[in-house]
Amino acid sequence: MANLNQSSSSIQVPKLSKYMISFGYFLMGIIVTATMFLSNNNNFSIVSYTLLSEIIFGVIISFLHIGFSIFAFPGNSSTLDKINRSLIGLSIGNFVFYFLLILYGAPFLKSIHTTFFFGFLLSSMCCLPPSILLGLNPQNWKDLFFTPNHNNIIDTCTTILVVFSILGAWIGAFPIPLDWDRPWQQWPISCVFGSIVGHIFGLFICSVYSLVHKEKKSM
Amino acid sequence: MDKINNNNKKINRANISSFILFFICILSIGILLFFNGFLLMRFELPLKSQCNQSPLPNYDAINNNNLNNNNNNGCWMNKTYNKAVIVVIDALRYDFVARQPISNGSSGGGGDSTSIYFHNRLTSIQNLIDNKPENSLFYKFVADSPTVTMQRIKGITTGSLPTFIDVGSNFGGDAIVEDSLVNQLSFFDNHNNNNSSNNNHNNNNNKNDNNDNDEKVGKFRNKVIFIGDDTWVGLFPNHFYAEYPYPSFNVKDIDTVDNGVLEHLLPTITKLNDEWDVAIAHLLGVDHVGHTYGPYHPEMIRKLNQMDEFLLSIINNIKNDTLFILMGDHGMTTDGNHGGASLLETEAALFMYSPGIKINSSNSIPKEILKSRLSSVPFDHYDSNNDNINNNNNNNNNDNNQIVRDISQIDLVSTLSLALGVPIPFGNLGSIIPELFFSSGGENIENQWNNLFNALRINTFQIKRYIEEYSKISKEFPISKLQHFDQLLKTTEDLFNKYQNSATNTINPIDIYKGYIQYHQEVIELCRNIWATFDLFSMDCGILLILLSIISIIFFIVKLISIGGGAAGAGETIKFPIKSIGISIGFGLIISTITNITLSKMNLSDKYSSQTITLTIPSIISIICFIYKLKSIPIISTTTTTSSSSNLTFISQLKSFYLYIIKSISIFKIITTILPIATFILHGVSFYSNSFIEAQQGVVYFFLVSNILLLLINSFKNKLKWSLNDTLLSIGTFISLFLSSPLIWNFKFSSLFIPNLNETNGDNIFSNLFETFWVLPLIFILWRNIIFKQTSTISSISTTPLIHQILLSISLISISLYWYIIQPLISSNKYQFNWIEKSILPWIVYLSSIIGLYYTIVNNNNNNNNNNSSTTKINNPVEKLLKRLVYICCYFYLVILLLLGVENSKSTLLMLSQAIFIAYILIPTNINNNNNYYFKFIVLSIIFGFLSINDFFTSGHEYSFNKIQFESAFIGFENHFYLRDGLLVLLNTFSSPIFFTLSLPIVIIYTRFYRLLKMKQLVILSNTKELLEIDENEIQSFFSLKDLLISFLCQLVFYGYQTLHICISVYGLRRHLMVWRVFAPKYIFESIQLLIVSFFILFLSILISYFINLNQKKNLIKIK
Repeated sequence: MANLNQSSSSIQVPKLSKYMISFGYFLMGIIVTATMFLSNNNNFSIVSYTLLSEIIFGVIISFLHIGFSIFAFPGNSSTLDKINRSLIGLSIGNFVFYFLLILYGAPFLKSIHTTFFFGFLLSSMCCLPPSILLGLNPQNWKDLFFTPNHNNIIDTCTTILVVFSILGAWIGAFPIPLDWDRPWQQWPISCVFGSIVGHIFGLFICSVYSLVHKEKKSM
Repeated sequence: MDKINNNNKKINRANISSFILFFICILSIGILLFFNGFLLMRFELPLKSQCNQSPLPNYDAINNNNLNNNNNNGCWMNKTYNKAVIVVIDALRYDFVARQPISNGSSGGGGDSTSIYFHNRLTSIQNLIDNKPENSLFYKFVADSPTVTMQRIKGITTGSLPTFIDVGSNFGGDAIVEDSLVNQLSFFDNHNNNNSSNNNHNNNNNKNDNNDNDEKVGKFRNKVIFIGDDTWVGLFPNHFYAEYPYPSFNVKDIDTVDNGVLEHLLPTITKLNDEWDVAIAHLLGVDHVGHTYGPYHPEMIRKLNQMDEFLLSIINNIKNDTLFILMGDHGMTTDGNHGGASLLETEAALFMYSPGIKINSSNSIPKEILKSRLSSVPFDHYDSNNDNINNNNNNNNNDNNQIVRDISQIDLVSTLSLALGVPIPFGNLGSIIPELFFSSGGENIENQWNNLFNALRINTFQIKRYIEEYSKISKEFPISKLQHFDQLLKTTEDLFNKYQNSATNTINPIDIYKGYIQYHQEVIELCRNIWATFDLFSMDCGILLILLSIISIIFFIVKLISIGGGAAGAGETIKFPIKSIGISIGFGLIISTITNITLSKMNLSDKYSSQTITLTIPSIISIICFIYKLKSIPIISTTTTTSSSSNLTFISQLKSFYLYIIKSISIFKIITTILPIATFILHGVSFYSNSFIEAQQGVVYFFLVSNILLLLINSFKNKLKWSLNDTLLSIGTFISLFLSSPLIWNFKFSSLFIPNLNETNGDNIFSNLFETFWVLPLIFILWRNIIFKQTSTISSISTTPLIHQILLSISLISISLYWYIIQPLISSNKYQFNWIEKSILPWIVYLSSIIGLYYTIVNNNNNNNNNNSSTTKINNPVEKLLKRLVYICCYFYLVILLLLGVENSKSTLLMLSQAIFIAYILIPTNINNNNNYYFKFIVLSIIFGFLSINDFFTSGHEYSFNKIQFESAFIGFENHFYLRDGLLVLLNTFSSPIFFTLSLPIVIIYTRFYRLLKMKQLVILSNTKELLEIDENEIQSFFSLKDLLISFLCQLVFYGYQTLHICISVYGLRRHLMVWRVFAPKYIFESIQLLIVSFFILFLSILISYFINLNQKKNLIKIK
């Protein structure tokens, strides 16, 4: 296994330098942040149009990650293969997250649409980048998230994005039981806010990490 | 050498119980101290005042005859009024009614300036105060905390001080059981409330039926009619001649209750004279405006103007023999809330108006009476408000020569009782309002004084009678105080007799008045100190002890983990420092004795309880000694020496690579460990918010799902190959979790198939069968196929003993018969069972459990004597201990299953399945990761803690006394026996903490030792030498019981941490008792839960030590 990793890393020539990768993540963060501020300031806020916001943010984030992967992700896959992987990962992840949200206690009869498309949003953040990178082999996913031997910047950055997005959604659930009577304290509005903020935070952290990361010496 | 080692092992085995017992004692003392300081109890006396029994002394027998003759004109005193209209405007603050100076440029803004929103709005009342001063009385109506409506109504109607737990015969209910003004107004002597079950809400139903009307008139002394807030109907069930209740819980509803009062009160009081006597109205609009908008809002203008018109219409329609009373039950803060003890919250308004009889002879009543403070106003309120009183005095002296008067809310009861001619309620502690009785005595000043003293003496001796009766059932009143009260009253009575018999006016009646009032003041001050003041010192000491014990447990856990890191340290065990602890306790007792003597000399023994000091100082010193002893034990570090003969370059590269891997792995470990601990900490922090406490089931379930997902992710990482069984296991875990979700746990699946479920018995039986018929077979399958088979080794042929199979099967059959045949028939009342027929099946379960427990503890099987190979050497004690613990858990589970009943049987099944799934997830597949154990124990304790709380809710319980399932005390028994009833109710209420505490050591042993050894049998042929070394290490680790000790201590930390946070939150919120009913019951439940879990942990540790000791003795016999 290690030999395979070494040989593949020696064969691959990085498409972009770490500066370009850092700029890519930074640009994605700026775009998502700008979309968030624009939608909330033009009376088209997540609070008022929850379902539509979930769809729009999910689509925007999906396109951003697909576009970034075409230019920056390593490997010899063609553009068409990457798009196929992304769609498959997005679909499977959507259902997985939907059932996890139901398991966490989301009301599955009252607001089934908003829960489902919140799963879509989480899938675009957490399942689409790894699926483009790894495909559908469970062992690859296991290696990515649990093995410390990351081969390149993209592996670590993908892990960071997944962790921060899920953590943001998790923390976003905390205000729901409080009695502050704010309009955003409802399912799934605060979690949508949390996941998007977590994802933006993860994007900026990836941008910094790409600059700081030192190339590992070849053994 | 072997003998010495065996002796050391014996000593080591006794340690686990000693440590647990030590920590449990400190925790229990902390809980006890906090409990004593915080929960203030007052006993409700069931006695009621009687019309023909005056509280005056015996030498007034002649007057008693007069009282009997004048029974129609009143009981203890002649009636002053024939009718009364009592209007309660909720949250009517004093300054809403008092006339405020008009300032030209004022535009609101709060503070001392006059507000256009709520000042000078009730002009009808202000005009009466100005134009008819002799017919009007106006006071600050000072409320005791808690300033919530139910407690205030209780104070206003009983005259008693409020406490947070009134222990009476209807514990948990809302109805006022002790004597009250409403009870005295409505009913004659010796009336039993239960007999008047027929109650017509509208009097119109009986207009055409003269016979019923006559019969109904005979039941009531006065026709009391209530309109408004439905809290009164809950407090006084079946008391009112007619009632018009309206719901009060929606604070955003401004007008429903008020419109109901407007609709019904004026028609009531304008009826014929014989249709009503007393009308009580409670309006909520002002209160709801305050809660929803705050007082500084235009809606308050509208509401107060509406109130003004309403009050004017009442004033214009009452007759000369009617007394009109307007009051607020509490005030409101600047943001419109109440519940606490601030001035704005406790200062309400009280206004009394009598169109035909003078009640305020301001010209002739002595100023000394007006200036004297009535007994019931709290000291702190009076002193802090003193400057304002002086300022008001100056202002009013310039204008109206009127003194602003403060009276306590509990002073109203005695005044109204005597004015309306009914006895004062038995438990009253308030004083009469002197102006009313002085002024209504006539024009002659001698008659005025006589009327006042007559009322005042009745009031005084009624209070004396109550104190004497209360002292018979409670020893809280010091005897010296009681003797002082008697002496004070005797002196005043002598003075009164001299005044009454003396022809010359040598005695000043004001001195007599002051004597009686001083008696009132001192009595109520004593009662207030005992019943309504927290003991902050005991509360502080309780919190400190709980905190110190948790810190010492955590310190001890860290020490245990660090010692157990290396191979050489596996056999090293910390001994419990029994001698040092004993010496430190003795030393602490000496210090506490000296401290108590010093404090008593300094007259501080009232503030610092000697009992608290005696318990606190030895505990603190013993904890400090324990921590000091732990620090002195050195940590054995394992250092592997690297051979210098290897290649340096290769070693350096290998080391750097190895360190890189170790660092990365540890980061992942930290992530998977920090998050469970973070959820544990966040759960404690959520206790400071009443929103999180009310939503605790959702909060706990959220954290539970998070932890189990992390556990599955960790398992996915550690598995070398992810198989189909693992997938099914994960899905089973998710389904089991989902079925205990707050969304779905109380969902009736039968409602999908039976659209219209009728209340007939057949449908009930069918519904129960459909819902739960699969529960008991599934439990049987889980027991038989999963638990008992898995605990058997491959090489051994031993199975579950026959007696256990018989007992468990019989119990399951008995439970099913009881649930589906006996209980529905009992509830349908079709068949008359005698008590043997009702109880035989539960008795079978109880007896089977007791016999099974006895057999498990006492039995010594020798089935495995034939196998003497090295593998069975480690297998035998592990297998035996595991089986015994499983049997004990099964028998307790049976009792829990019976007590929770058929309605909660799904929840009971989910408890079992969740424990089994988690045990399988935790099975390790790697042999080499030794450091993973202790973090796994911490995570397991956290998950089991959250599971027990979640299943507490899904088994039908809440943190509320009304939700306790008291009927479980009568399963199998007919008559009362409080110890047994309490035991059964505790087993029912805390079934999930008990079950998961019993399951914890089973899961630990199974995942830690048994499975690992089971796998080693497959590798036995490859490397025998290495295996023997590992076996020796495992044997020592097993016999030291270190893993179980760490797990038990983690459980103690989990529950102790919760109790600590709930104590801190109720400590901080003790004066903000709007949320009292949320936090206080949860505090009681948490404390009892911690004590029960502690008991079962101690029970398990003693049993495990006993079992290990038995096995060790066997080995010694073999050696000999």
